[in-house]
Amino acid sequence: MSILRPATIADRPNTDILKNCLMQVSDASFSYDGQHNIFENINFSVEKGDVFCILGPNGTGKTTLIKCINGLMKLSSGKILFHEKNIYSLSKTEIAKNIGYIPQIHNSTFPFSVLDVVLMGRSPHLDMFASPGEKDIKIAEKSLKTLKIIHMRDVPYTEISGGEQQLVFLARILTQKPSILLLDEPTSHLDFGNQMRTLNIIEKLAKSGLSIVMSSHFPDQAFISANKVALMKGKSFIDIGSPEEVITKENMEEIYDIKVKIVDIEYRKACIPLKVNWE
Amino acid sequence: MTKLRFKNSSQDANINDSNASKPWINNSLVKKLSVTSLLVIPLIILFFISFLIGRYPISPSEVIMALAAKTMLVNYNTPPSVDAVIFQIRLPRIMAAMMVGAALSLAGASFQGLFKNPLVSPDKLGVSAGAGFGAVLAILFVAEPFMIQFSAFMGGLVAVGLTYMISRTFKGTSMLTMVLCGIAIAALFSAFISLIKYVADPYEQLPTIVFWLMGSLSAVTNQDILMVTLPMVLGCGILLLIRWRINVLSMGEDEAQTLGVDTKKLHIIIITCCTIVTAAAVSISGIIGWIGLVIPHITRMIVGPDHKVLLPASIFMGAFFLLLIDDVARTITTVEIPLGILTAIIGAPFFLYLLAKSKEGWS
Repeated sequence: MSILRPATIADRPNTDILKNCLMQVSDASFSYDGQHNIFENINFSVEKGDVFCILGPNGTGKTTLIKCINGLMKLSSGKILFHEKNIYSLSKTEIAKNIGYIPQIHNSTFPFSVLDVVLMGRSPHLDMFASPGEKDIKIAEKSLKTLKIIHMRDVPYTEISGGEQQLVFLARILTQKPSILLLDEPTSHLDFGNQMRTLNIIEKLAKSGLSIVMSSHFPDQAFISANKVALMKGKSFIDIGSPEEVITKENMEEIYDIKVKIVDIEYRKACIPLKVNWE
Repeated sequence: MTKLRFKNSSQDANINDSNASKPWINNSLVKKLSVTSLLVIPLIILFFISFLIGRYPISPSEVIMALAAKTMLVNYNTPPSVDAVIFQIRLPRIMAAMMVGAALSLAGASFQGLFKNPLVSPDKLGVSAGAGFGAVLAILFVAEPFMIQFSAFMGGLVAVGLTYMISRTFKGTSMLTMVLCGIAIAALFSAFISLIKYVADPYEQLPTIVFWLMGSLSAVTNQDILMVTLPMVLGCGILLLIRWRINVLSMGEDEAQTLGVDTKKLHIIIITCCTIVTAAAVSISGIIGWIGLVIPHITRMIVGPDHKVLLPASIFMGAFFLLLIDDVARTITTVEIPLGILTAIIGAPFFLYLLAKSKEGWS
């Protein structure tokens, strides 16, 4: 099978990109050892209000890419511009004020209360020696109210369900007040209903002006919440564009190596996996 | 937004209702005050009781009058013998017990947050073994109290410095690598201690070495206290200032970084402060185990895991417990029991109890 379309940001009209462009990633590549690239030739831009969804099979480097965007890891080559400034020229605090991140896996150690966890979102806004005060608590409580979990304020976050924990981390990221949210498989440990609720929240946050970059394993999720999708296979994006353009039968069969069917369900499209042929 | 429903929503709704009538701030203030008094009042009471304990009988009124006279509150002529017992023997010992207990448990609580592990003690990076080696070396060659103390302090710093530098040379240093390096360094210094014991004079030096390693406050003088005050206050002060950041750090290094914390810098600050504080404590008391592991735990059970509260609370709890144990050590039998033995006898079973209980909480 061949690569169907070259994946570049040039697909979109140029003026559009510059006007609202929040973040631009160009020619990004990353390698641990300097020889084998985990990913290469990655190009995309994120605008205000975007929900950008990265789809791709396990092990293509989605998580590594996300970690490069938030400065946890450093690109081997290429550039990430945030508001036209190179992201690696910014301090950790400055990055944290602008980019919020929820990791795929969180290992909890201490049973902090939900409020304590959400308050941690204030740390880029506080001095080294300061701890959160009344004002910060108000901001944290507002985030808890936005996500409708204010009733869990004093409950240990280790004693709530995975879906509720995800809401707590979303509340923390809101308390951080960034302009871009990086969500690494935000629905990976959630049940069917909570997946939908999380996507719903993501959509609402984007409507309120935040930009979201998320990775996912479910093409359907891109149909539900994203306005921009990239397909990652091998080491780079093989396609990028609107969900309708990108999530096609050919593309899905190419990256996941299974048979799928794309159907229209009144208000959106859906991607349905079919039986795998073991031969 | 979609109405969110959770399995324990009815229970949560109740919490919500009760909180709606009372503002949270008042609730937390009352709780804060009661917890503070719970921590401080027993310590103050024990502090006075500790002056009464000992072979030379002193009445409570004498103690109060002597203390008041010393602080210029009243005009009272303390009998010289009472004055000597209170201010030359008992006061330094009481102060030492409180300071060492406070320092060890504060360092323990900080390390547990740093290493994201509630079963870590402040000597995990080799500070105790290093201090022990320093002290033993000084006993072998100089045998002067001040030098033993100084050498112990330096030994502790050197051991942790070695651990840190060696772990830095490994690729992709994680906290686990550092702990493993600390275990190796501690083992190395323990071997050196054994070597010195082996060559030491069995009638003079060996008993001193063994006694020092078991931990005791019986020989502490006012001068010793003054010596360690500066490093202890400095180290504890900085740890208290950054205590909220330990919360963020304990969520994991990656998460802390994306929350804007300079984790490398914070690691170095915490490790340096904990090492200075622990080395200073060990240099006057010898090796006292378990306090730094168990006290932060008990404190966490009382005040919760928030380091903003946990660290100051650990100070009071640590001071209280070591003072209590030292009082027991000097009264329970005619011969003093070394502190390290007592803390282990109490601490080890408690540790096992925590391990058994840990199945519910941490994994």
